[in-house]
Amino acid sequence: MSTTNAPKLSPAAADKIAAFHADTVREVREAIVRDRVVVVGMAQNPHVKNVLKALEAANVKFTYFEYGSYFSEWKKRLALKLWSGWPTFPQVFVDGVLIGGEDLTKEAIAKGELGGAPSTGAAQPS
Amino acid sequence: MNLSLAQTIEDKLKSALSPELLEVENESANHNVPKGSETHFRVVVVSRSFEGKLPVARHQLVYKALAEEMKPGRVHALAITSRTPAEWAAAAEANVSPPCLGGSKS
Repeated sequence: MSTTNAPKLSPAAADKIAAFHADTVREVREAIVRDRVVVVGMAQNPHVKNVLKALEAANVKFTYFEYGSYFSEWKKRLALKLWSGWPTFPQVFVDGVLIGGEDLTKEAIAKGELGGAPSTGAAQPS
Repeated sequence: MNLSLAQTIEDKLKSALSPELLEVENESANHNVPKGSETHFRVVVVSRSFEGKLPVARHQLVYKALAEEMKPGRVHALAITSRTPAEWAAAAEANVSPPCLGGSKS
């Protein structure tokens, strides 16, 4: 997901962004290739909590990464925002693609786009 | 000659997305900005380019087309309704922009 202003970025700035908390960004990049549904969030944030609850209620299996809270690890979260191009958390990835935050994820669940079993507790094919 | 921002937005979206339906509305009057401002816009785009694309990807297409207009100091808020022709035929409903929260006008 390259940003639209990428060509205007000076090479020095681009390098800086690429190296900024690269281990955190790598961790998420690897996860979204490996796992079908990945949620990136932060502690305490109600929208993150809501999306986790909604996914659990829909029996969608997901991997969750939590980076700090309001007073910690904001630089890691900044690096993730610069990489994904999405300015807030949660960030939800499905099949390696960012589908959005809380609202768009809830919509996708409602449309049945995330699969998951009906909440009757039926066994999930893995 | 100075094109209005609304006209520029319309032209750019037309050439980038060849929409079957395009509405550009300047909603700035609903907000706490000087009269005649072009800061808050609402666009409705119905285009085949959105087929098979998730909402995020659709909005990214719109933002990409309007990269110049979305720079700081120009468009402050853009409400986007992005539909494929099939979706629009099924339900021709545009999103409604949220009310102004940036300081009361009264």
